[in-house]
Amino acid sequence: MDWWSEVAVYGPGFWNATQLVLLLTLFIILVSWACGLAAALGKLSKIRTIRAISDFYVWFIRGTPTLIQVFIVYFGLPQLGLKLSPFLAGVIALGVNSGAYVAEIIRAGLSAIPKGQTESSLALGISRFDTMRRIILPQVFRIIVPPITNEAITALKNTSLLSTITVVELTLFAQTIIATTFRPFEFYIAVAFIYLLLTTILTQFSGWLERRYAAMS
Amino acid sequence: MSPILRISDLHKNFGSLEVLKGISLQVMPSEVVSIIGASGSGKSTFLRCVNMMEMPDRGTMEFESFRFHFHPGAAGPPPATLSAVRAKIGMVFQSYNLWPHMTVLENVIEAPMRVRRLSRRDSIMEAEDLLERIGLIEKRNVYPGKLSGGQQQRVAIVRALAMRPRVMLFDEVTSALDPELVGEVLALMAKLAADGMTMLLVTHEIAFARDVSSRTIFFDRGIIAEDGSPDQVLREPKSERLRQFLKRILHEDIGKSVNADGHLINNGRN
Repeated sequence: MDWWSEVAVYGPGFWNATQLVLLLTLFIILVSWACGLAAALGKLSKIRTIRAISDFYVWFIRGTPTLIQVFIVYFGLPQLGLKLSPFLAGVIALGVNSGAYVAEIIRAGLSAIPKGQTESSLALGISRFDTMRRIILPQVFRIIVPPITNEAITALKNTSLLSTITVVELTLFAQTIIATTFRPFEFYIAVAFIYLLLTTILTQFSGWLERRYAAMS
Repeated sequence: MSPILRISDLHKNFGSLEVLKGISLQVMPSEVVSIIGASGSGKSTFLRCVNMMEMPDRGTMEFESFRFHFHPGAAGPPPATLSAVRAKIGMVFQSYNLWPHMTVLENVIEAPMRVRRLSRRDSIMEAEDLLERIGLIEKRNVYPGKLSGGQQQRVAIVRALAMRPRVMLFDEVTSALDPELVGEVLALMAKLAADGMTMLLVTHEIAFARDVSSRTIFFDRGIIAEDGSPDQVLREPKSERLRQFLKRILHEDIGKSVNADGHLINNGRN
């Protein structure tokens, strides 16, 4: 029997697992943007404690393995009385992880906006909050589209780590099939292609967004 | 008539460097004050202190119903007060500083909507009226990146005017422009002056200071060294330093119309 057509038999299962990957990625990205923006602005805060917390966050996340962070959230936190579902633990762990990288991207973006942009806004009487929201962040967002897409791609690929905490996403799904079919090559190749398809779509979207912004300036 | 702006004994330090060493100045409504001086003389810093983009260290300032006493290390006025003052004091910068992600019209209506709390409709009506007057109405949906430097600077002026300021500050607004684009910006400023706008302008355009301003001030090392009518200050400088300054600057600009002593030669005017 042709094993490649055997792969196709599992189509619906792959589709479900792929949907789960997309859902995980979506939530992870949302969490990472919230954490990243908070930490990036926190690093610029006048209050020392907030700066210190932001610095510690980025330092800790970037300096420890992602897999260990996932384990801390899923296996470690229950010991402190916080038991999370595999899905929720995965979203939090990977979202907070990605947020540290997003923070650095936003910080670099902020420092790329000339000081005059803020000054001209403040000089008109516009508040600091509105200046950030209306004048600075929209410009930052435009220049960080490529690196932020890279980070989204990393986040998507990192969802495969969640196979270790029983989230039946693509990787764990493939492993369970391989356990009965003994065909790791075909199924891992199939899984790789699905990841490739998803990341390619993200890259294309980023390119489209960049072109659109270029037309609007 | 009472002064619109009353500043006395203003000091500003950057670290150990004392940039302003006690500036006192009263500006009457509709007065057009040009401020000249070498770079580092404190003239731009002074302008930025007037709308508190830099917080002065000492001195007092009165503007309309606002009174400020500055003290070293003090926190400065609360954000709402700062905003209210800045809303009434327009400022235009050397580097235009238009917001590149917004069209010309969006640049102009942003502050009226956020600060004056005008409706979008009313903001647009006012903005289009202003753009019409400076001949840039057909550019209203264009992004700043597509405009020439002169056009960008005129939009920046309109953006400030859309707040209906009582005073306008111009910080070397033609210095970044190509020579052939300086004229259109100066023409707009001359028109504003003629319409009665109170203006403080830091400039290297001596001819403009002479022709348009009602008063000229020479900044030297953090103090006001000379203050008088443009004719007095530019034609009969009292200090050697002003003579040297004019000689240098005029030699670069309009070499021919200045004589060996650094005095401006009367180009058939008066």
